[in-house]
Amino acid sequence: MRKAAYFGIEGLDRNLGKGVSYGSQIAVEGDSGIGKTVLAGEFIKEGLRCGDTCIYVACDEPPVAMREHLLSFKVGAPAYEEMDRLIFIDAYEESGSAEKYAFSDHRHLVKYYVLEKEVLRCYAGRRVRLVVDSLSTLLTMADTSEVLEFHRTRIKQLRKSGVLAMDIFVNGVLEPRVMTITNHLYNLIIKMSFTSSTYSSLRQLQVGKVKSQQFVSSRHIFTISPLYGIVVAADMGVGE
Amino acid sequence: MNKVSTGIKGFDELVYGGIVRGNSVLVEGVPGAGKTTFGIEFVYRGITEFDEPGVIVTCEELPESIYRDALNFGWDLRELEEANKLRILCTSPEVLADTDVNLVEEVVREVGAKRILVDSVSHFHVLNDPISLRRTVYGFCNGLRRLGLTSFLVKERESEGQREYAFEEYVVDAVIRLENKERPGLHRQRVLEICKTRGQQHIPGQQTFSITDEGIKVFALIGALTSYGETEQEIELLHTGVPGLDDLLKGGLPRGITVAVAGSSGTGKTVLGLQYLAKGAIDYGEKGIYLSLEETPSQLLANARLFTWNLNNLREQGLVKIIYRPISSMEIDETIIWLSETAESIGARRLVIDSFYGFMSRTDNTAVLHEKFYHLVSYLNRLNYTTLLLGPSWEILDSGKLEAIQSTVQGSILLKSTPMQNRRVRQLELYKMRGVNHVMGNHLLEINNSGVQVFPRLGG
Amino acid sequence: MKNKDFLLETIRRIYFSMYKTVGQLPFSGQYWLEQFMIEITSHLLQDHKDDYQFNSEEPVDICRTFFNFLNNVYPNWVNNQLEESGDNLLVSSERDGCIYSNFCLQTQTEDLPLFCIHLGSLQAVLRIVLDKHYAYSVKITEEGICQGRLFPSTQLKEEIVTRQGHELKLAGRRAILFPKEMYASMLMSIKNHVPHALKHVLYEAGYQSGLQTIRRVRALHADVEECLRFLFDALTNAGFGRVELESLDLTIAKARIRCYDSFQVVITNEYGQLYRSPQVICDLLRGVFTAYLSVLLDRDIICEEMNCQSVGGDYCEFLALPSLQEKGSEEGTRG
Repeated sequence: MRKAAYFGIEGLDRNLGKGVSYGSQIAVEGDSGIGKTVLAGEFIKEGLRCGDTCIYVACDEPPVAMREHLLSFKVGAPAYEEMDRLIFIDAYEESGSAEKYAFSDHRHLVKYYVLEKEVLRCYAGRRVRLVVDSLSTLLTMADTSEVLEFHRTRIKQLRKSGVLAMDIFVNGVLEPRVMTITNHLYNLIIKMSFTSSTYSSLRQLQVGKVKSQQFVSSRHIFTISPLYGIVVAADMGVGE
Repeated sequence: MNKVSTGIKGFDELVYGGIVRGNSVLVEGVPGAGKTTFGIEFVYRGITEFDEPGVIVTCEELPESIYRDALNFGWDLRELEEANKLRILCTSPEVLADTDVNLVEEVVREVGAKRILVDSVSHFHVLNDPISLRRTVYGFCNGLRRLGLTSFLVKERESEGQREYAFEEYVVDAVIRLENKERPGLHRQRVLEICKTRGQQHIPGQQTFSITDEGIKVFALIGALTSYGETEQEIELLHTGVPGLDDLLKGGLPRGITVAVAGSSGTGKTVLGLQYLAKGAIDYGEKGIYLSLEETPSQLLANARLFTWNLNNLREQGLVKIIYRPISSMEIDETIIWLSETAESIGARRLVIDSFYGFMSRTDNTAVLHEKFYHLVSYLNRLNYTTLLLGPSWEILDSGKLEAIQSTVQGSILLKSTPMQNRRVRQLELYKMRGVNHVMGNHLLEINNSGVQVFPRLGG
Repeated sequence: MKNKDFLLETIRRIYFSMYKTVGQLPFSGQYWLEQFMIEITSHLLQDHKDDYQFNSEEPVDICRTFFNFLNNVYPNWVNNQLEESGDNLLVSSERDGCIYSNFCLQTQTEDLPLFCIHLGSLQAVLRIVLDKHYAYSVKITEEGICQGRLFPSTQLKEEIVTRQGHELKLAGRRAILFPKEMYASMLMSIKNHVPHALKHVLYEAGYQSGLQTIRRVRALHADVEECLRFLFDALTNAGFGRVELESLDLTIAKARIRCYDSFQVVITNEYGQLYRSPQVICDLLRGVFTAYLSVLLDRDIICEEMNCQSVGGDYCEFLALPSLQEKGSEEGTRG
């Protein structure tokens, strides 16, 4: 089985070297509107092309939003869903979701954990990408100790089952202390933010990991194209 | 040791296989206790099951009444007589006691008898002189032994309370006392007790028995226990069919254990019990029996209708059997033996008993209760059934009863309803599970249309 | 007349050799035989233009005149009966009496499709005189009667490559034929200049060209599946790979398509991967299929390549479905 995976974003992938291995966890943090879901979309599109089974947990918008997003890039969700290669977990609708998998009781994180594990168990033996958009929404109702326990248990489980996971965090939803501890658990962290230049507001993303309490990263300027999705400027502003 | 199997159901286990050959057994009891039936069955089974011809000596009843009574159980004594396997001798105590006549010896030789029933030796009391009486009985018994006979001697007792150590008890090798006792709950119960056995072990204590269409049936869980050797088996895990619970159990319940499931009403124990059987049948092809001592089958079915597994279908397919026995008509040993026989007849592997509270109401004596539970659990386990014993929340049990149940089962699952964030949530705790490194603590439990689901606590 | 027999035999031999040879030519061989027939017939008519007179524009009259002319030049050359039936012309004869019966029998023994030289010549005459396309069908009854039928044809010869001077034409439109090196070079250039655009370019190119094709072809076929198979044959003939319609469900607008030995796969195998990680690469075909099906089924269809020969599949596998399925409606109707 192939080990390396990419985002499907040329400028980013180029800097990943040998790629990300299955069984890693990626945290994506960013301000709202910065393009975290677009990044998730890229990650899924790449996964689908590469033959992976992609599971998308829709927490902040209904699953149909992602379906439409994919279609806007000429990627047809129905064919992949038909072949069980693209699976949606609806964690958005309060009740009466039409999706096969739905989760509405946000009071009990353990129930989400069990559902996720169950879904993953259905696709054991495949190369799986899991995207939770956003995980911070799922964690809002839980207290700190519960969140940390959830993280520890879940990430251990994901690692064991070789799932390539992308967890999205909206900036400011969780306490900084929780985020700091959380960050240590991820193999790769992508921070997305707006940065002001002289003339306009730019989007930038930092890719890196936490090493001895320090976030070591490379910086990229990117744009969001309606045609191509996230386009990372070629080696512009890379490195510190 | 050469032993004679009586052939009486459930009795031989009490004497570890049978009566020592050549011994004399005194069967005593009040009128109507079942002594004669007991004796006749001993002889009848000897002939029909062990090819040991027999003799019945009666000083009391006419042969016709013996034939008739025996026929009620399907025992055709006349036929056995014609086949030269049996002789029925109707005589008087005087004749019996007369060593010169040797009437008995004659008939014994005629058929080559190995067993004899004498009904009854009470009539020897017509010989009023105690010393000669004792000598007579002693001589009589010795005579029987010399002939190689294993004998059952019936003796009347005037009343239950009376407890005279009559000389016969010293003369004979074993004493079996039959009683028809009053029990709480306005019903009578037949009880059997082996008071003495010479030269062999027996299981002490009172055992219930009943007189069925096919003869005597002794219900002795402890006796039944001895007939199933300790089986050394690989520990096989059985999936409960309750999502999440097997994860807590690290795979499932070890097969052949008994687990108490305790919780107050509304905590989901009945659903859990039904689901255990339904999923066992659907997912693992295992048949199960639900023994209800409280709710009627229709109540249970109505309860199960809310869930995706169709209990009624399973019942019609013979995969799940629901048996209803109201507490009032129930004896523990009898119920359990009967349950296990039913389970065996349909090939069930899973049992649910709802609830053990029913058993507790039968007695206030915690020592007896402890013993009963111990026998019940050991018995079902030996038969390799995996049993859920449903019951009330432990808080309402007094310490003695709690101890009785806790110390005998291999596992306890507690179901609770706990206030949390302004509402109650159901929780499950694995309080104890022998041989399983189970996950501790309280776990969220929910009931939805697919039944009970447990969500193992994160980080457990 | 030994000489005459030999000449006839030679004619048959020439026809048969041509017939066999054109079957091996790329792009519709049958069509080339028709071209030969047109050439032969027009020369015949040219060389003998004093021996006949077309007095009517009616197809049946033209055919009669032509047959009479032939029989005048060479007695008993044709013994076919002609009949009109609406737009159609019915042509029948006894095979044994046919001058080309040996040719006919030989094609059958070699398992080639039936080709009737007489009907072919009528097809050519009608084309020359009226400039109308006719197709024909023919069957031979058990009694040995040939029953032919000529009918006006609208069938586009989508795969026909012709050359007029320096202009190469595909189905009448200017075309170019280039070796894979050129195509590969184009892809590699795109990859080097705008790597993020490559898959989009391929898809879009396939989609737009597919739209052009399907819009021209759609009206000529009443049946969706027939049209699709025709288009797939055309793709196969044009060298895209062996494209097959595996299944088509019109009720739910679902199609499964396979492509064996896709040209894209061959190019990737030879000129290197298009993308950083191994993945499906036939976006051009995916775009073509999306266009075809969207027009044919008259709704938004999107086709995805589910497995590709370039990543170890036995073939490339495409699945097309309506682009946004209404979630819930399915469940709703089921319940």
